[in-house]
Amino acid sequence: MTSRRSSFGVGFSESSNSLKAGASAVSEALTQAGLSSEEVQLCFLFCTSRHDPEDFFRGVKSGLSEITKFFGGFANGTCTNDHLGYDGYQTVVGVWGNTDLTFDLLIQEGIAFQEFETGSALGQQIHQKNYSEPTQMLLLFDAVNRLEGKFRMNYGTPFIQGMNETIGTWPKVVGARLLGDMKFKPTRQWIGDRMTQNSAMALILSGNIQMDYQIMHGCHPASAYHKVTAVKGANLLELDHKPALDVVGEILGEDLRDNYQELKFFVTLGKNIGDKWENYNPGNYINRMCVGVDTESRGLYMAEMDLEEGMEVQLMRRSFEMEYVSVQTKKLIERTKLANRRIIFGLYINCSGRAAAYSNNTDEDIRYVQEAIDGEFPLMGIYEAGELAMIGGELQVLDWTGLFCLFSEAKD
Amino acid sequence: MKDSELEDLRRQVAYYKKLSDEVAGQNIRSDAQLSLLKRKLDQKQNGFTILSALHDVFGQQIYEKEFFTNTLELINTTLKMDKTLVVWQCQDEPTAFEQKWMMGYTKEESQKITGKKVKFHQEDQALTKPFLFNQKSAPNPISAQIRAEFLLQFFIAIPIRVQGSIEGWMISSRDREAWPFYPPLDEGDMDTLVAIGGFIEAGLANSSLYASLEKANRELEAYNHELEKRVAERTKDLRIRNQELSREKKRSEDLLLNILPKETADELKKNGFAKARLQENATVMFTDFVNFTKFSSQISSEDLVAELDHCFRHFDRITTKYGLEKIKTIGDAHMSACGVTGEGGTAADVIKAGLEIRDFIEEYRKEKPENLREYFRIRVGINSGPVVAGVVGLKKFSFDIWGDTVNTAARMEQGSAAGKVNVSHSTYSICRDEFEFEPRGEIAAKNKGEILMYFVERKS
Repeated sequence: MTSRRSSFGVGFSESSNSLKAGASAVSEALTQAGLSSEEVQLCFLFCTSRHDPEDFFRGVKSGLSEITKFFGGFANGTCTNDHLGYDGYQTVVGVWGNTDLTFDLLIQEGIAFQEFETGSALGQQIHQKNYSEPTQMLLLFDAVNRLEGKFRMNYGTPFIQGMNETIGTWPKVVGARLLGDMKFKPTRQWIGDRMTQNSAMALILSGNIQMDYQIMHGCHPASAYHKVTAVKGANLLELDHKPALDVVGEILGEDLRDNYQELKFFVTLGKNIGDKWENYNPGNYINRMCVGVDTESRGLYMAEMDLEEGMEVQLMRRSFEMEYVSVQTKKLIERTKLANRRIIFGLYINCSGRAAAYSNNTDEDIRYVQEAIDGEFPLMGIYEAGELAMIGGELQVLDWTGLFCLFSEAKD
Repeated sequence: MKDSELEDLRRQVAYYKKLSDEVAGQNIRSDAQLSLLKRKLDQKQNGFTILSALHDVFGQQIYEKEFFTNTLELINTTLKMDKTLVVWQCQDEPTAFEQKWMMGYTKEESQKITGKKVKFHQEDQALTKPFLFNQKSAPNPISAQIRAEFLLQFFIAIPIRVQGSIEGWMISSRDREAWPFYPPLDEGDMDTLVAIGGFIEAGLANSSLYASLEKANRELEAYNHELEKRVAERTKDLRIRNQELSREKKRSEDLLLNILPKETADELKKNGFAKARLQENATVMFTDFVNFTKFSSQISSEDLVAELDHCFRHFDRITTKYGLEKIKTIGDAHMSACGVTGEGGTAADVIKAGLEIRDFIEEYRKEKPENLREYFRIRVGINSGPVVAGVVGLKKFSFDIWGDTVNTAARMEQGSAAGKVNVSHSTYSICRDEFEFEPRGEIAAKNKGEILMYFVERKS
């Protein structure tokens, strides 16, 4: 039996009118895909928090039919092959049709304060599907917990631990922690044909589909190893039996130590899960960003609660080479082609902090992804607050990372 | 390994570890400084981006709504602000300002701030300079009012002057100030917004200028429209007058043509005179009522003229039908001819007309009382030959013909009989094959001696 050649198209809009932005982006996507509104089976949609989420969803829906299922949420920025932008009115829509693959959309609401339980319940749903063939999963969850007004991050570590408890066998998985801006305003998600929030969602694909990805770190180890000697949740209390803030402050100097608020989103610690003395191997590193300072206990609030006592960490320096992004992107494309697969589309999940406006970079790494693709297949990209990918056989939440994924199908 | 060597190795490790941390610290500190520098550069660059975009719109007409919508959106997205609004002086309360344009508000927030007013006064002094309120600022009544009424957190307010006086304020705000992505608003941000404010003032002047131009254009168009309307009305009047004139002209021409043959009338119109010309092939016809003198003594002059008018109208129709020129009437006589203007009409046409006139009168007499029937008979005489035709004199032009042919035609009528058409030999010669002629032989005619005459009838 010959399989169909699926069609995919992306559309981008920066209109401040949310309804128009949705309609315009979906129209552009349909044109690129060469699909009619009745042929779209799955629609990805992302927009920034500046948009009215209901209007945007209505706008996207206006260009599609009732058979289309939706999957997406807020993003701090978006990109396609020709456009990129963040912190404004960016939107991106991807339409997928004419395909033989089957997909399931699973959701577990209530992740705020309940990351482990939510992960466990979602893992259970996936387990119950009892997939007999290899599956690929795109996992998204809300980053923002503002149920009590003040911002609290929804942590990925307990969420993944919860999933680990119930899921059984993991599909091949990538994912993102969703946010709509860098002020951590409440976010929205869309799944099936409805809008939700405070959720974890999984898109599970099976059939003639394969997902491959390349992790692209933006940090290099810069310091000696320091041992975690006290930790409480995401609060790194001590390194080398001394207050973590003092240790980091001593390395960075008095200026930064005295202006400790400047350490937020700037200090990044690296966890090497490989041989600690071998040459730097990005595939063995998990970067963890400091998102706050605990002035009372002189600890560092980290973006995840995966640091444990006894682990050794290094201070990481954000200085990735743009060429590295280009080379790694091209390598994955070549590998996929050599496996005789037709690339349907590329998905780039980028850490918001890597955007030039928020980093030392003078250029956008996404431009190098766009150049490497060179219009060969559609690119859909989002800026989020944490990337999910397997490292060392376990799903990890990665900080300061770009995750380039290729969705491909076997050629006839 | 000796203890001293082990100790040495430990010291080496500690040394290199410390060295490594120091290098890391230096590098990361450099990154931090670069980051700070870059942020400041970005801040300026973003400001220039907006100014450049604003500058670009100055080459064209600025529409206030579009201008403010685009500018406020640009400020929000480029300077990473959440809400920007422009408040304008209230018409009924000059010291108060209310929302006019806004960007970044949700629908619910927009409804909440509609109609809200803020006074930019401090200790009874109107504020005239830009000011900022960030997380380090001490609260004051104005900032508290702005925050409460317009749902803002941290903001910069810039006055907008129109012709020197403050007509509005632009307020741009962030919902949160959080290091490092949204550092507290500072003087640098205020400088950028002040520069933008300057462009907004220029934009408003441009908009106002274009609005004045548009108004002037509209007035000009209205004036043009009015002018066109008037011209149209005048043209219509002129057209009507022209039509009247044309009708008058046609009436005059018809009248003239009624008096003169067309060629003569054209010549008279063109030159002011018409020369009498010799026409070689004319045929002249006279009709005359028998016993007319006796008839005229039996009825009133009015009735007589009415009868004559009735009959001559019919004669005119008949002669016109056959292309004859009516020359004139003399009492009860009717004189017509063909070939007197150089074109049209043959002797046969004149005979046909004569026969038809005769027939008309014969029929008409049947309608009359018995005692009057004898007066309704006519004699018709026709002769062919050369005539001189034209108009003579200066006043009361009338077309006439002269010559022996005319006299002979009159003699033909005189020599005719009641109910008969009498023709000369010359006419007979021309039409002998077309009619039935009854030769009458030579008959005496006044001043002519005896001349050949023929009664003519249609061929049976």
